[in-house]
Amino acid sequence: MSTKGTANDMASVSATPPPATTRRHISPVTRSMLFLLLAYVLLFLVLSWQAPNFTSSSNLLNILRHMAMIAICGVGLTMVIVAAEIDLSVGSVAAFCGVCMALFAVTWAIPLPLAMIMTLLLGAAFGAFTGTLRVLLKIPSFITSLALLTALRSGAFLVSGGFPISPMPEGFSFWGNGWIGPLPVPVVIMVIAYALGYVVMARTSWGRAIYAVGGNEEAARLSGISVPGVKIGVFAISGALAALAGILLASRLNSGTPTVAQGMELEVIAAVIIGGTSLFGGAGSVLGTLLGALFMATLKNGMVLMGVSPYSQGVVSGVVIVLAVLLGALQMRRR
Amino acid sequence: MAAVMSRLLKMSSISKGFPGVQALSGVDFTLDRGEVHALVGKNGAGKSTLIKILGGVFPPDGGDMKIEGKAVDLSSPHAAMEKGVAIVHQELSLVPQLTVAENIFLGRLGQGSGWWLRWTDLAAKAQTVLKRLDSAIDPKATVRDLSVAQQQLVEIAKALARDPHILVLDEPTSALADQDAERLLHILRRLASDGVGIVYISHRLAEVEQVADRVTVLRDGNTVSSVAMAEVDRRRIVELMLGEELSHGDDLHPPKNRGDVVLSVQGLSRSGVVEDVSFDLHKGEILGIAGLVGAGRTELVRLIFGCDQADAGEISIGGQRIERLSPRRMCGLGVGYLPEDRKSQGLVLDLSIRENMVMTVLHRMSDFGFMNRRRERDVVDQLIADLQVACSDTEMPARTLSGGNQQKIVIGKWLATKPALLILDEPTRGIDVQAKAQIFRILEGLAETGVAIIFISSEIEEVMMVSHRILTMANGRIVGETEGANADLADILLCATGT
Repeated sequence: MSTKGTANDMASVSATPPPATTRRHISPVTRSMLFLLLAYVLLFLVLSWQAPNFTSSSNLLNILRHMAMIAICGVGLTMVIVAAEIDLSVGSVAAFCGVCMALFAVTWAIPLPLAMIMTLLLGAAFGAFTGTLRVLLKIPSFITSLALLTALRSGAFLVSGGFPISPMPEGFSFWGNGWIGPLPVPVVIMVIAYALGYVVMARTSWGRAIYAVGGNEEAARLSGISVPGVKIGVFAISGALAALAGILLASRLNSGTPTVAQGMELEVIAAVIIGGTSLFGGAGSVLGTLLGALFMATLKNGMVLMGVSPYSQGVVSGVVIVLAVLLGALQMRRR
Repeated sequence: MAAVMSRLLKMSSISKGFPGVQALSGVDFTLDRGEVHALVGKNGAGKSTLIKILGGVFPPDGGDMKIEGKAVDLSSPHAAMEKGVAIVHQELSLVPQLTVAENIFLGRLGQGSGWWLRWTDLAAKAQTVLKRLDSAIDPKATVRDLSVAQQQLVEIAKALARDPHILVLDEPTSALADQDAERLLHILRRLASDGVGIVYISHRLAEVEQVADRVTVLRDGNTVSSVAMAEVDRRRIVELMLGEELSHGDDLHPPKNRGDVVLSVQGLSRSGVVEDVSFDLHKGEILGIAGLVGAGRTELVRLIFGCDQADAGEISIGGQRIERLSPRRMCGLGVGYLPEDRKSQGLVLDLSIRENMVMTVLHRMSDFGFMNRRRERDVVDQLIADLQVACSDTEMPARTLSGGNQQKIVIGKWLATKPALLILDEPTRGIDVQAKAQIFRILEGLAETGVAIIFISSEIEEVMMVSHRILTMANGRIVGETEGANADLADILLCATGT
């Protein structure tokens, strides 16, 4: 048949590379980050002009210190959301692990470094639990992490007997209240977490696998990517970072307190979403989350300085979140 | 045959074009009262387009339709129903959580009784319809709890409940076991003797032979023949479907560079989809798998690639038996799999072309876990050039490419692994002629360098053109093997369509 001959003849035609062009493609995530940056500059200018004392270095450091815990959890949650999952348990994990930190260090008198490592591993274990149920039994992470949200909060009360465990041992105060050069220790830890988070997401093969799994789990699986490795991994990191936030909170308050970080998961999710990460997975960046957390912390701080009623502050935050999501949706449609 | 014969439907010189294809060019089709009229043709011959026009899904570009002698304008599915046309589509459209009776009267639940539903009436009415089908299905049963065969009957009951004069069934037996299909054919004959005109679309020619009074063959949007079933046999129908020039033999050329056995499959089975499949595949050989949709081709290669688990049988790669298969394991062994649906299984559409292409080789593109951007760039640029992918910027999302170029990206991501065995499931579906030709050329080039290839396509001519050897599948089994000079396309198709 003639067609067969043609296919053979065509095989001898040499391949020519397509013409190269210089136009760079800007991804929706980058675009929304640039937009957020612009919005932040505007916010900053308005507050410098309107809010008393806003630009004082002590106030600016205050903003950074306030956002540190949320932002640290944001690194893990960005990974989780890019993998098309959700972790609602970070606030409760932080509280439970903070109490356990106090239990280890105070009640059981375990040396500080060991107690901290144990606490971090405990947090990672909670995350791995959510991830494992997701992978093995296909239980949505929304459900498991919601269960952890309520269970670990009451667990924190059970472990502590309802009262803060204090005082923490000598030297522990450094993590929450100390300074490294001009910066508070939690802020330094936050910066390190973001540097590592960025490198993992943007420069490693495992980070690339997170995007692939979040973008299309089936295509990733059929490409030989270990889906369980990605899913359990991102949850374990999220859990460990929540535990780290819990340690910093315990240090700051000089006690393991079961009531800390109530509703923190929602603030973290807000930072991730405002930062341009897609709730559907497959797209996002930790730098966006850092900007998102910074934006929300600055806005809150500005409102307090300007004497906005605490009753109204939640409304303003809500409007900002909706606006950010709206912009993201418009981006999607423009594509 | 029915006693009263009168013209129920007459469709004359129906034409319909879509961007890029002329689906129908002047098709004539008639249906008499009380007859079962089979409509056959290869994929893309125009069967479903014709049926959709009859069902009012879209209007024809030209031609006219008469129902019972009166010209009709079927501008919507509703208008078609009003004129007594009922269509049972291939995919079931039942609501699994509702009862049989609710499904049968779905959309017309309140009719005739105001807003107050009388469930007992509804059940009784459903019972009457089901009786016409000789079925003992309980109208109060939940559809989810029924077998596929029973669900198919409910679907037909749903169509019958509207008292249609014209009943169209699109591949109604494709999901049924033999004895269930047999029963369904009996029921259809009875309905026909009640005076219903039945249009029966099927690839299973044995059934067509058994049930139809007349058969109309479509090819490339034209009516090729419309004859009484008694005047033709199966082989003649297949020849009509393929056209003269194709049905006669062509040579399957042996591979230029055939080597040792790469893949050996022994007695592979998975209950209900694949039955006792065995074959060997050599280095440098392109093995085509022909068969109808639903014959078990995709299911077979999914077992080989470890996407699904087999119930029995074994697979050896390079002479070594492989236990505990998974896609990850198979990738590691140098096997690549281009899945049937490139959008939902082949690509991560929102990631860039570059990221998609190296997805299979992340470990090779990285040192101690860190991506090596330069190596990644080099590999991607080389593949883009080799495969002649038309794209201006590899940072663009894969979504932005045309179908043919997307498929080349999926092929590229497997070429990046330097595979020993490449499995391609419908690689040419929905892509243009030029891209098809390029893909065939790529496959031929790969085979010459010693890659073993499994090629699946519903276009039997393509399988013929590309393959060195062809296995034909039907009902989960291998029913034929074709090799060497004078391979006969009609034989293969006959083999695939016989039940």
